[in-house]
Amino acid sequence: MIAAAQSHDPQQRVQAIEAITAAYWRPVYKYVRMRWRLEREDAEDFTQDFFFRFLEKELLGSYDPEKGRLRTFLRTCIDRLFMNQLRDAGRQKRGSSALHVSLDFDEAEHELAAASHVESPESYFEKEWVRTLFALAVERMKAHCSAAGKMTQFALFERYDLADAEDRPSYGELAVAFQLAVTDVTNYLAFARREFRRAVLEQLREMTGSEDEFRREAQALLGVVSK
Amino acid sequence: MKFLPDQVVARLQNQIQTPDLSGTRYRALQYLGSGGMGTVWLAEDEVLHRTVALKILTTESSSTDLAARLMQEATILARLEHPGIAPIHDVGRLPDGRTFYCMKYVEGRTLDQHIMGMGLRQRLQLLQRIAEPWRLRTRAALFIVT
Repeated sequence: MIAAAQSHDPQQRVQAIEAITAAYWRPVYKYVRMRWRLEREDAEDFTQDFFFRFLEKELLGSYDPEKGRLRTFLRTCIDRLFMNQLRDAGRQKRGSSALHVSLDFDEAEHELAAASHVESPESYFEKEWVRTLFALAVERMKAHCSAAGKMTQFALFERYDLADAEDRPSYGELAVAFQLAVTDVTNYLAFARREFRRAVLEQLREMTGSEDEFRREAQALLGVVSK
Repeated sequence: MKFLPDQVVARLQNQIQTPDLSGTRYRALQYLGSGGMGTVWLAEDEVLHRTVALKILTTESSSTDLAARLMQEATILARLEHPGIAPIHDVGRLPDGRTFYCMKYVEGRTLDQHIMGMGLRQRLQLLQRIAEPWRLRTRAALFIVT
């Protein structure tokens, strides 16, 4: 993904940057709102400007996967860009329309309002990164289940694993609702969780800068239980 | 994109960290630790009713050559008999494609805990005892590779 984003082929580069934008815009937007206390409109402009600079190869050209994680690089770029823009009061708005990614700032604002503000902006950025990774993996998994005719498995996963604790049905209740045996519910959910894990790894590969970073992130995310 | 609340993110993370052992004879009991290639879990062998240690790769074998390395490690260890080497019972693949091997679960303390309060001489003697199975293992590895 990073190689494609650094490519000289404009079409390939736009597609890769759009994928990166889709994966990272929420953490970036929320981070600048929290870290730099930008007003909503300024944060929206900043976020669009930030990803447009990626398209122009101004930022990504200096990224070296050997030297660190992509998201740490992005956070450093955010801070640097913000400081530069602060210095350059007469900055111009960029042509963000070149990227065709829908950025739902209303929704991001709603999520931000519900966030705990006791943590540091840096750890919040990390947490948002995991949240976005999982949310995109759910979408990826849904598309895969749909193509494979496994939407019952996905629907069970959605009703059980993605439900709030208070709305979570029992396996028995799911069996009645879906007209399945309880053992089928168990098996379908096991399948769905395997699919979700696979989707997370696929998504993670797209959100990391190198194979080495992918392995380290996978190890940190999937390999260690924080107990 | 659906917003996932904190509790759902935590639940999903916990789920994908816990190995899916369906279709195997093992049941995951407790996370023990992790290394460069994967994680180690305390598990119950539901056929022989004993606790074992499962070393499981973090990522699917198709994406890396780690599975081959894990299998080689298991093959080497399975050939060796030494009180300092935990015996290998089994190798296999999880439903999600990850390779694992099962070995004897040895309860004990970590090296850090064990050497606490030891003098230099005792530490060196212990190092010698630790080096012996490593020597055997390296020899066996060379034998298999060559």
